[in-house]
Amino acid sequence: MTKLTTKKIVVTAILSSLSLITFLIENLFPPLFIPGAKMGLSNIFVLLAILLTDFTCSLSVLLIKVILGSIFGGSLSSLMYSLPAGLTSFLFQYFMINLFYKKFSLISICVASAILHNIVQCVVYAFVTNAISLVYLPYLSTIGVVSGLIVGFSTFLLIKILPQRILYQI
Amino acid sequence: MNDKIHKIKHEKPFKIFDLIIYIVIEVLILSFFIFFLPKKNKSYGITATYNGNKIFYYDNIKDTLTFYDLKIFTYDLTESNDKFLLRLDFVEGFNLIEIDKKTDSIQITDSNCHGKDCMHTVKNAPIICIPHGLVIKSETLSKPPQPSIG
Repeated sequence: MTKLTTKKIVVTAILSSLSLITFLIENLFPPLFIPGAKMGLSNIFVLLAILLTDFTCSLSVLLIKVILGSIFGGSLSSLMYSLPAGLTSFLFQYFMINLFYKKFSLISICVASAILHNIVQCVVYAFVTNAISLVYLPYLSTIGVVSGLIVGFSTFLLIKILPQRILYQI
Repeated sequence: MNDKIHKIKHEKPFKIFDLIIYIVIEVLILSFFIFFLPKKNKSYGITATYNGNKIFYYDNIKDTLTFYDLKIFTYDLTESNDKFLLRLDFVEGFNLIEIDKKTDSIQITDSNCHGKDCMHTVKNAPIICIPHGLVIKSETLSKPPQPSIG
């Protein structure tokens, strides 16, 4: 088990705050064409946490973003579908990156996890509202491909641009 | 040194195995469009529920609105030749609904819910306002349900 160093705690705190701020700013904008559709730019920092830190720290970044984001965003009811969706896509990303990072690129893993996030969100939404209707699934999945590509490319470029001495010392 | 970071720093954005993921995603999305795209069903009415309780029924053929369970909400109705403008007031807030008599379409034009997701719904899909517990969907009924007394 990796040690919880001061550096890791600081990095986790910084990534959590950046993720939370991005999440809250995104919340201010209306949904993209259909209810629940967002770009998901806050996931850039969750992905960075998965790459730079360990499981506990990266999970903390996700939970802080989702829970505090719902509280500060004023919509606690959104927690019931953003938390399971966030956890599912996080676990998928974490295991894909740690087991298959030699075979699959970061961007494709991001796209797949974005689609998974939207599928889980839609299924939970259908159960909660008793609508038993997944009519938003085709549209959310399509938007998920775009948002996954944006998040994946952004994280990829960040890793490329950030100096080695910063990335390798964490 | 972090192996993953080192690898990502020195590699291209795409790999050959990514094709597997993209093909699976494409097949998934196509199947979603085939099976889950909302179809225009032959509807004779629209039912609205609040926290599971039926509150109004709109009859497409007769262009009439019937209200139920008036203890749990209040409403304000304005009728014109071609539209109904209905304001529903709940404990949680209000929703302003517009029903077009000619096209039998229904939409929420204003609400004080957080996010206002109910104002941006896909055509033919149920309209759902989660913060207010309001669900509006098409019903195919042979005759409208009878209103409750009291």
